Amino acid sequence: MLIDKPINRRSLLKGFSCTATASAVASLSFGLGTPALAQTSSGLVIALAADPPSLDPQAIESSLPQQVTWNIYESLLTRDEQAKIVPSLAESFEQVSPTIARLKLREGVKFHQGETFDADAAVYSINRIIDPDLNSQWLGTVNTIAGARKVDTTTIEIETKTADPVLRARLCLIAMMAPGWVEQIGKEVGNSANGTGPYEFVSWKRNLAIELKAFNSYWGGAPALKTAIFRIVPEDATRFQSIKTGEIDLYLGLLPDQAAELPAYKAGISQQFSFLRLNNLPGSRLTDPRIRQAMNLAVDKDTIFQQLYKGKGAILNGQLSSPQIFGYNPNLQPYRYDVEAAKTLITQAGAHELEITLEGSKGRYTGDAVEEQAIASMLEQIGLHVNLSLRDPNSYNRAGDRGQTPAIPDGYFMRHDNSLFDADRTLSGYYTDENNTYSAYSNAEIKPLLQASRVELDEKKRETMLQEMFRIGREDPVGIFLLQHVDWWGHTARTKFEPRADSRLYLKSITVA
Amino acid sequence: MLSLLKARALHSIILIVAVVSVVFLTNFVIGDPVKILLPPSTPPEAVELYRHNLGLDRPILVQYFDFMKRAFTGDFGDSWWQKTPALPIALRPFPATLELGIVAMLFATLVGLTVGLYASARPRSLVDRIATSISFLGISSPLIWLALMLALIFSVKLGWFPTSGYGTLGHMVLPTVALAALPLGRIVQITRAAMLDELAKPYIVTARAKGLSEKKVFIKHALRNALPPIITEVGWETALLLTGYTIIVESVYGWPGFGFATYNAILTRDLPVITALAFVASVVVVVINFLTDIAYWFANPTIRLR
Amino acid sequence: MSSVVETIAPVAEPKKRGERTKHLFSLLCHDWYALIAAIVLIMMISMALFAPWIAPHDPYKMDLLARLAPPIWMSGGNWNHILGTDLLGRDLLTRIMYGARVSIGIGIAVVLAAGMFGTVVGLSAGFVGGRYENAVMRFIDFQSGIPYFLMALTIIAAVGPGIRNLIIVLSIGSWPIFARYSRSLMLTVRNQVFIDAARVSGGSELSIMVRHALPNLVSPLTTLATLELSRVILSEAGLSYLGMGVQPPQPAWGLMVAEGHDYVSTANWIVTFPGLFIMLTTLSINIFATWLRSATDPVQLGRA
Repeated sequence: MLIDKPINRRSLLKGFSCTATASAVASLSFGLGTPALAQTSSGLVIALAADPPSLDPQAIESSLPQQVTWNIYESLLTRDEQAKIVPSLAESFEQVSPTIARLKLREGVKFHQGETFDADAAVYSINRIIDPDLNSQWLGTVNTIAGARKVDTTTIEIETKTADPVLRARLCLIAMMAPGWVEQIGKEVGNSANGTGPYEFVSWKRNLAIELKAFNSYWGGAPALKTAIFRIVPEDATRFQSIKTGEIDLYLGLLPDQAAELPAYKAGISQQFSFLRLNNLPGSRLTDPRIRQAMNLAVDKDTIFQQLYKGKGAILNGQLSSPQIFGYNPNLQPYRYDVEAAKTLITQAGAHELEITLEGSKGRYTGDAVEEQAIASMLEQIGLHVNLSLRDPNSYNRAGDRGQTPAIPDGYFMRHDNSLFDADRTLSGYYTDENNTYSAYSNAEIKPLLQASRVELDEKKRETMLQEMFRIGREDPVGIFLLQHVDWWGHTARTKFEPRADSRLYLKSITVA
Repeated sequence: MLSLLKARALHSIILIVAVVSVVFLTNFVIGDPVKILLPPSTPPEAVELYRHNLGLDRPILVQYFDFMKRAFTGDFGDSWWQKTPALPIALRPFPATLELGIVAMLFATLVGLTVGLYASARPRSLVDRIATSISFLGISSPLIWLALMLALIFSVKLGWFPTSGYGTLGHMVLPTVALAALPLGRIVQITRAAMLDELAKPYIVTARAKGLSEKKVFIKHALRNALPPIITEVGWETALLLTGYTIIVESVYGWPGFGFATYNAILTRDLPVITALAFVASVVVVVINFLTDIAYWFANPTIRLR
Repeated sequence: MSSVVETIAPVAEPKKRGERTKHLFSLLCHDWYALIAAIVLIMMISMALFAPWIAPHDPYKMDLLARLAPPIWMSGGNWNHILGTDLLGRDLLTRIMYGARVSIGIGIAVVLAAGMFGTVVGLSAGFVGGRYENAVMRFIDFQSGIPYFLMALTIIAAVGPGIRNLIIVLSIGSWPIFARYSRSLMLTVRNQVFIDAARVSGGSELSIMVRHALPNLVSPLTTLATLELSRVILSEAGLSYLGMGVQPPQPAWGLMVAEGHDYVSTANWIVTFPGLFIMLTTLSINIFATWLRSATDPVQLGRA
């Protein structure tokens, strides 16, 4: 039975007008209150891939929040554009005894909210980061420090547990914080920021945006860029698109494949090395170094380098290190690509048809899943049977940790980040299985050398030791050495930006046309 | 009536406790949340110290009871990443999701109802066919693909809307459409089917025979009786939308809401925040169930419901 | 989850099998909508079954030099890769064909597992009644109150992703629907049969049930299963996107959308086509299943 038309048209109209009104009312009451985050001619909009968990520079070690925090906070020493250590909040550094270093602090520096930066602040900051109650993720980097003490208002002394040749590098990573402010703000310390740097914190709308503005009383002079907004944009495709429309000016994490389509991009050399960590510990299938050498010969690094990364970066020459890192061995050669030689070695070692398990990550680093699948496929070509597992970040971390996974995978894809710029971080982390749980490698020659190098204060002697360890780690391969990566920055044409060797984002060096 | 409410309240509390417990305990099956939080090169003593400070070296049951005790007072612990209380962190993004969810459901319900009613009034007509097609498209679209395609077409190719973010009406359009597609489809279908069911019943014939106008028959009798399944469906879809679909849509569009926060918390294994989010989600479901019951009551006070 | 699904159809007189099938088939040919859906569905299933024979390439074979090649109709496309290639240079058409096996296969596995379990539980609850039935329905109500997606994510994050765990988690989400529906069916059927049996008086209730009632439950349950299949395929896509579903390098439609989502503006074919296939499959399933329900349900026959 059909119903008269007029009624239905009415109900239809009713329905649509109701919807329209409701939507309008809802949006008006919620959404329009917030003004759109506009760009100004003296401002910059940067996209971040995730909301930082915290802005406390001493608590969280991950690289993403550091894009923001190193504009607000500073350290006693820092690195210049060529990654050389230069003074920052400390004017001089003197090793007065093997375990004690004395630093003279810069005068006339103030924190954004008014406190003076002096010896009390420096001592407080250093003692805070090594305090077990803070649970800092930097502990692994700074725990050679026993404590700091004030000598006078502009001088402090830092004591290390043993002689520490890497102390200066470590000091580049410790942010100076204001004692009064930290004590008073308590738990909220991660939700805002108060430092001595060229930019001060304005606001943080969670999962939305962080706003900074220039600190005009900055001791190094007021910066040219007046405002900066870090917008949280989780989807890579969205970030990419936003550069094209000009909604954002700059972001880190551009995909190499898409670089050519942007108005501008920069590929800045970084200290991130990709390698396939191999297991040579007793009981593993890969104890014979010939197998691991063959695996190195099996990978066509050049094709990966050119096709996946557009030739930006460098191919590692048999070491997890680069010319920018202290301890780099300039005399080592990369393994060439030679499938036949690889097959021969495999046969000699009796490893033909060997089954190996590889664990990798996906979506954690630029191009990781693709690189890993490509390599797994290449290893199959030399007669190995590869079982590849690509894991989400949680289980990925677990799989590489000897402490959590008794069954150590034969190979574990890793990207090693050396923000310390010193080979010690790499060597103690991956070239030995002592005092760490993320390595699967042990070599009897390296261990005593490593111990000695950690307390050797003579630079030349130490450098020789480090280079020797890298050489040994190539002959008895720690893993398959892959690439030194670059930081892929996408930006608009109006943004004048140069990447830094230490991968940091310094707003003070950026200008907009 | 009161006993019904009491039983309902008890049922809801058990539900919430169960959800939170399962989430809490599940996270221990994985193994070691501490290692996720620390960079790989952290020496073992530092790791143990970190673990101890978080209270994670105690036996599981102890941790569980301690957690439940504190949770009852609203204290879910401090977020392991942000170091501030977990519950406020879980609640903070909720208004943004509510915005999106309410608009999407309003749109889906009103349009869905209207279209479904129209289609049931004129079965097998062209309008009916179109309505049915739209509804099928809505329920068959993979949410992630729909969200990406909408962004591709309307943002990238046509430039009508911003690709992501929050703050203006324009930012809301694409996420709302993506979210509303599936509920819209279902509501159209169920409205149509429920109405057709009712219209075929004998009492409708009687009502018409008694000389009542079509409009009265349609709305006062058929629709009123067809409402319960429709309301059930609306309630169900709302709960599903607020606690499920938003996880995907919010991450595609960078919408700072509850779903996005959930996904991040699970990925970073921030246990206190995950449990706080699970708590909020189950409270949402309980509230929606309650609202659905109230809607039943309003729609048809004469019906005695279970 | 619609109550229409739970609308109890009075049990129809069982026709002879051959008659019924022919009748159904002619009905299908008259409804061109459902006919097209059925054809598409058959094509998808054939593609899944015969993939190893008809696919142009090996789904796992990479070719780094041919990465991100566009489909044939765009500039740079070539006949070697009709739908283009993905991030590793693997042929998209091939991966879509093999992906059908995984995505549809998982869907069928889940529906079978959840369906069997749920139906047994539901039927027994309706048959036995009493406290058992109460307990079962309580539990189902309870489980329905749990925010499913959040729980699924948490569980998979805990036990690890992979096809087996995926099937388990999806089955957990699916069985209540089968249980509810089969219980309702059982209740209706039982009342009718009881009355009939009371008249005839002979044979146990159970044997009467099995001989007369159960055969009639097959079509409504099949319809439900088919509808659930489409829902499960969509859920797999969503979970794979979040990294909690099928894992690389396996070809699966949802995973392919996930792998390509960064490239939606520069190489959109990687996302568009797998997603399109998901949508076409679920659309056909939905249309066909809805048609099937009205075709086999005498009450609705007059209306659909």
